[in-house]
Amino acid sequence: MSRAELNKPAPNFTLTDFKGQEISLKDFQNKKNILLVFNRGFF
Amino acid sequence: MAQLRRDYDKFVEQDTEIIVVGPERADAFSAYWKNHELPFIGLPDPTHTVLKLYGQEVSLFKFGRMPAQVTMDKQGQARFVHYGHDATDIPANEEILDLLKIINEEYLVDA
Repeated sequence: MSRAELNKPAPNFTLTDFKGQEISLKDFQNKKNILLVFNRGFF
Repeated sequence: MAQLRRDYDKFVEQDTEIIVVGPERADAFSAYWKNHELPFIGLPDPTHTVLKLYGQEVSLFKFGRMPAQVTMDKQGQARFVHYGHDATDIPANEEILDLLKIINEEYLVDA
């Protein structure tokens, strides 16, 4: 199974948010730091 | 996520966007975000594409997905990677915020 590795580029991805807007990780490059959170689930 | 919501302004101060990825569908995300008034980006991943890309672990014996967090700088480098071993194994916000301060200081020096 792949994993993010420390001090290496985080794998880029594109997903659509729940409002219908497409979000790509690379869109934030040189603009924002990112805290990417993988949740356990809402229940 | 209540902890992240509580400290959201501190993350904004550190020029940081919080993105939450989960296996639920968009309607479940929408309802949860509305109920909890969450200010960050919520990304439904019902096909588990990104969850697998980042290797979020699933434990049948510990009732589901283990929490995971990746903090990345403006160059897209992973600067803090945490894969939880149980449901409560989540880094403290203070730890992440301290790292973000250092990352931002480095960015200013490099710019």
